[in-house]
Amino acid sequence: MLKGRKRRSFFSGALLAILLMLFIAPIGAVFCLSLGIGLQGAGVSLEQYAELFASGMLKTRLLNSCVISMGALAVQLPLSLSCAAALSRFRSWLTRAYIGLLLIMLLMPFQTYMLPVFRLYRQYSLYDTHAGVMLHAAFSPLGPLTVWCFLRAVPEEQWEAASLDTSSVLVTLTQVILPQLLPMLAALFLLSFAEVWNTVEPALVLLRTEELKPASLSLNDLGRVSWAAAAIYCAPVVALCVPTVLRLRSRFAD
Amino acid sequence: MKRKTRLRIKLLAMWLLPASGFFALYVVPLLWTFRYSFASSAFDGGQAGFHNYVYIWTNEYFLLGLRNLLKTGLTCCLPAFALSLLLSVLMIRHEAAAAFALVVLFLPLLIPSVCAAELWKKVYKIDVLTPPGTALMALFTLFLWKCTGPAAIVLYAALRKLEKEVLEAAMLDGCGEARLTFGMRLPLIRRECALSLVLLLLYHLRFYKDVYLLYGLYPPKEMYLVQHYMNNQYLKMNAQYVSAAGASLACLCLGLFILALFVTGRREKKC
Repeated sequence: MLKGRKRRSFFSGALLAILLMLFIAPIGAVFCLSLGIGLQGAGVSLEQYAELFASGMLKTRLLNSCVISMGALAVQLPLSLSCAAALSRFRSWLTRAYIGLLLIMLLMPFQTYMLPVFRLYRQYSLYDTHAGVMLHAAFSPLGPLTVWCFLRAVPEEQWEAASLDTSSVLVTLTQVILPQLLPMLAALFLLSFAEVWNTVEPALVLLRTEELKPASLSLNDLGRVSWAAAAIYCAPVVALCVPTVLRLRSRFAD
Repeated sequence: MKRKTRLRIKLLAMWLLPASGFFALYVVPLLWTFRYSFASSAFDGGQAGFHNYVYIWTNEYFLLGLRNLLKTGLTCCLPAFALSLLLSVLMIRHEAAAAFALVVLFLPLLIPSVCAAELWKKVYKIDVLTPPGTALMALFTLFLWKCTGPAAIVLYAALRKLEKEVLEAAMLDGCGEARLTFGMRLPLIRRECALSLVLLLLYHLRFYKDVYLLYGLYPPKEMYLVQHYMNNQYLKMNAQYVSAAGASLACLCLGLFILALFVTGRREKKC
């Protein structure tokens, strides 16, 4: 019986390993192809990277992606925290209705409301600007919803104990509640960063000038060096994801 | 002023700016979509009544896009759900590998779509002459790779929360591994299973980005989605048809949301 159990455990372990290898293979393949491994007539080399950096093709696009992502996150994180704190402290049917609205808008594809956004941006000179794409990402429903879910787990007693020392909700939020939420906020940063870094449809509709477009729209225009460009474009997301997920796992391991 | 009133004013102030941006850039544009869907064109203020809806709902390309959206939804989401269930059960059995598995399963969702699309184009040799079967297989495998992970993580988190005593009692009564999984674990996480399915349907509705990066604005017939129709009408400046199609898609999403509320609400009542 023990042998049977060990055999089943071995096979299930092998199956899990194979599935995980299949999931990680495409990411590994992008990095291998960027080093020339797997390309016809090419050995292992950094030629693609050298060509990419020498031509400066990706530089502008990456800079645009960085500007849009950092700008959006700088606005989104504090506003999401502020909004979620207000929603978690004000318990009413209005709060539930607003949460429902956030969920509905999270579900809606961008195409359902892109035309009015395009018109609005033309009217207020936000069309074809980085600020326009940043604002759209900054007010995404993902941020407040995620932080609200985290804040729900904070016991009511903590808010009440803090309110004995200070009447300011902001002080309670930043000095008592926020330190506990830092790992979860790191997860939100990761999710929001990946969403904005990966933005395609809003950038496609709201940006016209080629020089303003982010790298997410133009990697396939780079020809031979697109693998090196793809590897560089993936690197920040991979670098952020690994420690964040591991830290969250260790925090919730019990 | 009473303390409670002062607190409410402060909370309102904290909520106002984020909510203003959200309403201005998301909610109001969605409501305007419904308004534009009754206009006769983008350039005059004329009203067309339900003419735009009749036009798109009798248009072969819109119906093709909708059919493909529903077809690809079913063919992609159900296998993705089955795979995520399998992964979550395997992760529970092998907790030591769970940390590595979490990272590996989460990464595909975060990897930029343009990078994945480049690779898929190379592997499946995607161009204008790609056979329909290959095109569908490319889409299917890309969806499985990108979207199974988060659903598996949701199910894994739910399985971890199950009370060990219940499962141990079942094992003492002679339950084998298969009976334990299908007869005990899965029924206890029905709510999370419904949530995972809704999550997969949500990702599917937003999967247009990946389809666009793989096939461009004019994909093979089997890949033509409602969003392609909307983008093409947008380029032709037929704002009224874009809005009517957008409003129809919004109603579909709303229906999905209500279904999800119904399923999860019903489970809570039964408990």
